[in-house]
Amino acid sequence: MRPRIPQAALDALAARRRDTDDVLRALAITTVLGDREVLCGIDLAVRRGEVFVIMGPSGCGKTTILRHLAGLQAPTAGTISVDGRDVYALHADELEALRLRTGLAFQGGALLGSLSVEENVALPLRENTDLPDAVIRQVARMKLDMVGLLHAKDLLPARLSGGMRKRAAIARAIALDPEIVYLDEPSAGLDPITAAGIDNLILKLNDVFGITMVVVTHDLPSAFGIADRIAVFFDGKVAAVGTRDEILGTADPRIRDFVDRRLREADGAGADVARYFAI
Amino acid sequence: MPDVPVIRLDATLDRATVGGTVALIHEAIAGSPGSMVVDLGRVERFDSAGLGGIVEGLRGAREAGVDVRLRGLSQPMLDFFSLVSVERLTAQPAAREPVDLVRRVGGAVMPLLDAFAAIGSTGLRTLLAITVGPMRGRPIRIDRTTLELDHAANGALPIVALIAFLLGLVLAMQAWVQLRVWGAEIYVADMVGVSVLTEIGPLMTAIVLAARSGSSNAAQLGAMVVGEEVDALRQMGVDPLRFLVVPKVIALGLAVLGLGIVFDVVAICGGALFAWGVAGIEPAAFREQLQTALRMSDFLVASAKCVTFGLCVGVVGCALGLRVEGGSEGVGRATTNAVVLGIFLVIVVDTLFVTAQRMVLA
Repeated sequence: MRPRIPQAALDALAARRRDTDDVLRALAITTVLGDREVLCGIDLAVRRGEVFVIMGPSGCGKTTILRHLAGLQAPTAGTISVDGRDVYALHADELEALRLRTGLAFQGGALLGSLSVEENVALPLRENTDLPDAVIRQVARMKLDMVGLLHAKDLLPARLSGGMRKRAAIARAIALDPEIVYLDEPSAGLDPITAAGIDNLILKLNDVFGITMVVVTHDLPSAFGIADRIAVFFDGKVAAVGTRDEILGTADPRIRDFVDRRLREADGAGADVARYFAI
Repeated sequence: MPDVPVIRLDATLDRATVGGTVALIHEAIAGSPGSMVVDLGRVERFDSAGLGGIVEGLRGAREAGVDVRLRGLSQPMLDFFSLVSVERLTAQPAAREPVDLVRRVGGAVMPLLDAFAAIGSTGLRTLLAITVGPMRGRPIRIDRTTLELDHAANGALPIVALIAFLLGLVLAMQAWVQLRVWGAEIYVADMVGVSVLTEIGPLMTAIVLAARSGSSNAAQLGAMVVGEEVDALRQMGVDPLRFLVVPKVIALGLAVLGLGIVFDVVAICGGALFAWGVAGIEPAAFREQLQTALRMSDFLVASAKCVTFGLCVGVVGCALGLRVEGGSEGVGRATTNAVVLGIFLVIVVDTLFVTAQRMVLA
């Protein structure tokens, strides 16, 4: 992790690069998977140290943009840049170095099934640092304690519940003290209490370590609870970007319906069987 | 506390320096001073590896009964420690306890016994489903069986034919080299015909299919178990055994039978080709000699062998696939074991066949 910098110095830094303080930028991202245009012309900017939530209904391209941002999959067109450098134009070594500064917690955890929870968290440390074994184990345990999983450290992932898997994945994502952490649906499929625990964890990590968090979710309470800013996706386009209040105050009917959990009129389905009545 | 030893850490406490720090603390603990102080007041840069080293030091001290206190923690460090419980972390043993010998031996043997038990029980239930099931109004799924047969037999046909042809050539060549000395070249036909029909044909075909289809069955069913598809079938009232296993097992029985016959024919042709081309034995003479060497009973026994081998390979793959645990690693293990145990079982059954045959003849 990076040391706490005095606020005055931070302000000075912020003033000096007011224009460049977007740590992550997506410019005109268009992605075609098969013959479906999943993303069309996405522009996003994530500021350093904020919790940025990407929200939207299922199938709106949230996870795809996350994969682009995290450097896992190049978009069909457009550029992703981290600190002003085009991710997909980087040399393989540079991309590797960039990845070490980021962490990604996958939706289902993506823990390695043959390793215990502690070994899963220790893996990036073991592979990328030459720390003594005892320290690696201690760091892995500290990260597991942060997510409340120290008691489960010797279990295999198959023995974990869904919520525990997500928390273990977060512990693994922060193993190397990353600057940016991507979280894919961290609270989907969890009970409200566990989900609130994960939200709380995200805020603590953001607050204490100053990690930039990019969170993809369709969980409304979670999104509004943690976000500094929210981007709402609809059908592969950004419908709105703004703070919680800006999103809540929007006039866009689609966002209003989404936020109010109102059903849209389903086309076709309904009472048109009447057309086939005999009388 | 003026007499308590103090360790003053430098400005940087991170990945690069933590190794030295831990060594320093452990060294100080080794002198068992009763109590000591680690001063973090000068630390300006730290990361979680650095603080992990401090916790590791505290853990070692706790183990050694030394009272270590920290001094001069900055606010960011306190923030960091607010996310963890040092008490909990230092209470953990350094490494996992070693497993004793009995457990280790048991851990190696028990899964194997379990696997054999599962193969036995799946085999019995499959046989029941094939023989008794249709009489009880639970017919065999013909559509899925033909599909599986297509997968197993069609795909393996080229490789089986190629192996058969080459082995036929090689067998004829080996036999000819020996028999030529006695001027008994014509017996090449006996050698090739008998060895291929009674042993090599059924065995090789079963081994190829164990590697090709037994493994893929185990992987497919294993992945289905991991994805809860098998549970879903069960929940919908579809018996996985009848829906998945029986078609695969029947298909493999038929596939080994069909491919075994192909193997026999192609291998004998390969042998005849060598005999004709190199040893100068006319095809007609080869055929005549073959007819005196082989009897109908040989062919029937070989066919029975083929079907049995195929059923064995099918049951082993399916049984191991259905008991997969623990995700992708479990699938890998089941796939390997399906091939190894499949071939092993085929050879054991072959031995039983030959023994039984000799006893009947004697």
